[in-house]
Amino acid sequence: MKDKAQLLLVSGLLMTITIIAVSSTITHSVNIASHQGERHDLTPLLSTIIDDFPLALEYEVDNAEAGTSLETSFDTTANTFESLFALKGYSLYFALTSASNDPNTFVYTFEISDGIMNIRLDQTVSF
Amino acid sequence: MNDTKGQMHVLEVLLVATLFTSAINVAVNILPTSDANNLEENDLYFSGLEILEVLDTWQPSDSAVAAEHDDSTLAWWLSTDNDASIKQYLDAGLPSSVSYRLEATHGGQTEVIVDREVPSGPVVKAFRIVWADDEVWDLDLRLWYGYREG
Repeated sequence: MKDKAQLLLVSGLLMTITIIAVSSTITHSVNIASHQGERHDLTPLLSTIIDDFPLALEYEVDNAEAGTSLETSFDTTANTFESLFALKGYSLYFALTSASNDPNTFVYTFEISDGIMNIRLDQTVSF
Repeated sequence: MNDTKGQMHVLEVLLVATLFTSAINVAVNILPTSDANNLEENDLYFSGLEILEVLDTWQPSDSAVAAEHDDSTLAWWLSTDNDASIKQYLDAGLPSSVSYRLEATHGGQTEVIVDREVPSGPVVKAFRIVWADDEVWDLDLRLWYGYREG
């Protein structure tokens, strides 16, 4: 009776290990397959951020009410771009490192992600 | 006798477990995964992104125009309402089997630049954020495989 119980226990353990191994294999394969052949390329979007964001920022600074800080102008422009990209399914985040005037110079970092790949770039713009 | 029986039982269980694992592995490798995503739609999406990017980074040949519109033909055509040129460019640049509709949202209003009826089937939405005419323009390019009317 004791031997039978031990055998049952060992069999149960083996089956459990097998089920865990099989589930892990299936999960792994499904995860790979769900992204098979997908193209993840953020380069078509980089030119928008690198070229057009500084133009929008310059306009925002030039047309801000008197007394508006450069940091506030940067945040306003960054929020506009971040919101637009979020609506398209991309995560975009701007972080201002420093801002100074004469001439207006912004040092910042942006990071864009499509959920699979990330690109982080440091930028400096002056106008 | 009982000992041998017990060992055989363990071996049987091991054998069944191994066979089961192998069968599942083979099935996972053989089963098609093409429905996990649609590669054609993925390609169409990037065609849309890239054709707008090329137009945006395409510098107008006239230096005065280029300077005025930040070296962007797309910004130039958008700010001068040159919808006909945008349509001509997209018609020529996209494969003839692809149709599209282009809308632009700027300053709180949406205007249709190329007006084509969107079908009920699969449609891909590409986009471009452009700075033109002192505004942010949100271009929405819908693309689908099908007959391209007028």
